[in-house]
Amino acid sequence: MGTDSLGDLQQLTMLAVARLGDGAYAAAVRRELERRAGRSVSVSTVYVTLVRLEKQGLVRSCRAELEPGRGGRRKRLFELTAAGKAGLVESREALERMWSGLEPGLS
Amino acid sequence: MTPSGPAGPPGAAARVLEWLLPWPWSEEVATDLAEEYASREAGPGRWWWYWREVVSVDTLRLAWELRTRGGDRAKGGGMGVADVSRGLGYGVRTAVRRPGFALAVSCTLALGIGASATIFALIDGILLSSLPFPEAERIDLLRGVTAEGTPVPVPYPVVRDWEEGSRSYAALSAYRVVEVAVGGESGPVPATGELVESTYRRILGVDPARGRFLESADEVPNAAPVVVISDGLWRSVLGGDPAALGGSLRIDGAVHTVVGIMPAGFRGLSLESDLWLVPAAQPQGPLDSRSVGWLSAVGLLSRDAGDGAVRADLAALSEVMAASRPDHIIGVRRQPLAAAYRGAIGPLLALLSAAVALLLLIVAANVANLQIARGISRTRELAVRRALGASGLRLAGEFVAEGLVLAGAGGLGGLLLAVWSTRALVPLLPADAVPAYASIGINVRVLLVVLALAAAMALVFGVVPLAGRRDVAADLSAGGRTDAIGGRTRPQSVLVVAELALAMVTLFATGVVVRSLGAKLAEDPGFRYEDVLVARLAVSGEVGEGRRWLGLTDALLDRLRSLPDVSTAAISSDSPLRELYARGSVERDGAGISYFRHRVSPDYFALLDLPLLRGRMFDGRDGPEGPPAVVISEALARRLWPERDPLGKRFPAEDGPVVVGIVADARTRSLDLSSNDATTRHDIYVPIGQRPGSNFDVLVRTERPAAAFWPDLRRIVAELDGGTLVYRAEPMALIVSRETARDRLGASLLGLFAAISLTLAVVGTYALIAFTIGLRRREFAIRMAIGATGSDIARMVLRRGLRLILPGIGIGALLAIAATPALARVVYRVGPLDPLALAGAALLLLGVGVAASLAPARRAAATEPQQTLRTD
Repeated sequence: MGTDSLGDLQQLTMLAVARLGDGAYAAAVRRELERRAGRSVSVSTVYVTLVRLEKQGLVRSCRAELEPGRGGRRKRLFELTAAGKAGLVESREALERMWSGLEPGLS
Repeated sequence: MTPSGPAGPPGAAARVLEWLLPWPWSEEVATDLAEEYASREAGPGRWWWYWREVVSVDTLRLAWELRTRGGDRAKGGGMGVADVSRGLGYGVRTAVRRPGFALAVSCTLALGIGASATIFALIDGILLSSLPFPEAERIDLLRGVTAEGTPVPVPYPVVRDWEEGSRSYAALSAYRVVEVAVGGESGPVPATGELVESTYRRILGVDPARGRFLESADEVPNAAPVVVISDGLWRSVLGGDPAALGGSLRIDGAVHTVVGIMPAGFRGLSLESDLWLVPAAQPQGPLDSRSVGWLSAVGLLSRDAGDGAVRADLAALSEVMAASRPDHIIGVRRQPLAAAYRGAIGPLLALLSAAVALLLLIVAANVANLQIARGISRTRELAVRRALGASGLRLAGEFVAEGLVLAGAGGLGGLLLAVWSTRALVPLLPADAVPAYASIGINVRVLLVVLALAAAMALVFGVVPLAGRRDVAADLSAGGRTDAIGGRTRPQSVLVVAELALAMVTLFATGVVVRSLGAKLAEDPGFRYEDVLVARLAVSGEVGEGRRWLGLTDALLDRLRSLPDVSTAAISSDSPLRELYARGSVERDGAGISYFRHRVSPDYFALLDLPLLRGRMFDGRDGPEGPPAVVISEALARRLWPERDPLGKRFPAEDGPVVVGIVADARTRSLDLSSNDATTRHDIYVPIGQRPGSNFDVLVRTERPAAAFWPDLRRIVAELDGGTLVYRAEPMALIVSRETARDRLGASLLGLFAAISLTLAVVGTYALIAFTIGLRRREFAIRMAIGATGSDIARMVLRRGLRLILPGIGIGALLAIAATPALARVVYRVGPLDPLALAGAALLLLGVGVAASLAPARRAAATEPQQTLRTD
């Protein structure tokens, strides 16, 4: 799966997953997106994005261990796959190549 | 639904989420949403937020993504094509395993779907099929209208005025249907013809297949008589000989040149005509008279003529006419052709559609109830499967698949039922209600309706058992015991009450229609029609209307009277209810009074038992050479001479005949008084011997069956004059029964639907009560163990039944009252809110409902407490 199919929201979501490390579940990803990227999306949108990324093999998910005090309900945790990490790096490099030399003129 | 407290997200929304998403995703998404929910400020705002999240497009997309990726298939979370086909197999297996249930559901569905498809086939054939002319939607029939509001024919010059004065009609033609005798190889045959003008071809948008249509040159006085004939007549009478075009054809004895042959299948505006003549060829009144009406008109609206323009146009024409007041006609009335063809049966079809819609609702309620009952008895199985992760959608899919199997069987049964019932029904439809071009049968549209109904029923089947049942833990802990569910029959009770209420509406409507039919049948037509046979004669041109005519009719009546079993014989220009009548009108105090003119032989009154009130009937004094005489009806006598004795007065119209007698009123035009006005009873009778005509009815009173009499009549006529045609032969009882055919058909179909509705509603009631007492076995056993008697238990069960039946009747009565405006269009001489029909429907429902509760009540009373408690 090439990086050229990675949309803006997909990249941001994957970055959020990477930043959150072991604690990357949908609600946390949603907050991270809001806090750092200023993107206000719903939990369902985050889920749809993650499920599609999982389909593309860029993230994987598993059921979290049972935590005390959550009424016996579990979360779903997401993490980047190797392909996901490579894809992120690749798209960053592509962006940097495009940006190089432009900073003075654009900013 | 109110916003829930700080405790947690709204439960209903959580259940929707659970239903939409496969497990375990449903749980995980709910966990995330709950965390977000908790972090938000308490209040209605976050309640709304949660709901929006649950029903958002992204949630649906998530559901789609999860269900199409196939990863969780093994866990039973999703639903796909494989599940449906598995479900179909499962459905078939279940149906085979429980044949009783499957049969009950399929038969109920077949009844509902079959009845609906049949009525839809009627509607499709009669109301939705396209009219047989290219621009039929723009064709209008035009008639004159009197001050009393009666539509009447107009004189020929008036039609000409309309043709010249109208701006909204692109083309306009005179129009009249006539019965004629067409000369064939072996004597004349009867045929229906139309008197029309050259513009008729353009109005109907049809060209002759051979030759030409009538032209304006044919319409001038003393033009050579020509005729255009149908393909059918050309083949049957002229043997399909191409040389017939340009040849001659005898019509009522007069030679006409055949100038054109219409394409096969074309039968004219009347849908049953075989030849077309200019009005002058068969004048039913003086051509240039402005006082004798005998024609109507047909017009093709211009493309740009709006409703308002047409109305203004007709008003202008009316004004021009009012100035000359031809025949006391004060205006023009238009009737779109579509309404003329379809109007007769429209209200009846509307009523039947309503009845069949109610029936369908009852069927759906019944099926839903059967399913709920079944869902309850499968509570534990469903709970286990949900606990193992099957989503609500998946289970619903299974139920839908099972429903598809049963609805498929029901749909197929319904289709067979519809095929059979449309075939059985079509011959029973009154002839005037079904236009000849309409073909009633099962076509693609009807099939689609059947398919849609079956699919809808399958959906009802699938969704109902799962609705509102999510407490998996409680279901599991209840184990296999069903008495814990006893309190959950509320949805079923609601459905049964609804069924009873709907059945009540249909029963009430049937009652009103039957009472209305009874009122119509009880109407006294004013004449005695039993044992009277009527046939129409067209004497040949050679007989004419002079001495030979008198000789022929005298001899005919003598020979008929001498037949055994014939008590009286008469001839007349027309007979009651045969739709052949001549009109006239007189002026009295500036107002026109219209009347119907009948030319009759002296025995006519005795034959129909029309009582003489004053003066005398016709006798030997009223022969052809005698002074003009007239007998008038009581209503007309009162209208013309309200305060004086009419006897001996000169009638102020016709040729001024002297009034010699007054007879009782009779309904010569229609039995139905509501659709007519006082002029229905304005009749004058003149001696036919003084005004002979080549076409007349012959009436006999005989106890012989009609079939045995016609050969004698034909033989006598043939012996008297070989060229005279006998046609339209029928018993008068048949004519009278035709008048009520539509009402009788409506009443019987409605009665049939009411019977099915009642049966289904009562079966629903019975099934629910039987089901509830099944669930309450333990309770009854305990009650009896602590001292309740069997009759106490029976009373409890009966009370339960009454708690269904009485609200059903109450709600049904309210619905029935609300439906009365719709009934008002079809009732006759009965108030649409007929108290007798209402009370009758209520009592019937009560009686049958109580009877249905009795059997389960008796069974409950027979509970053996010890045995029941031991086995449970």
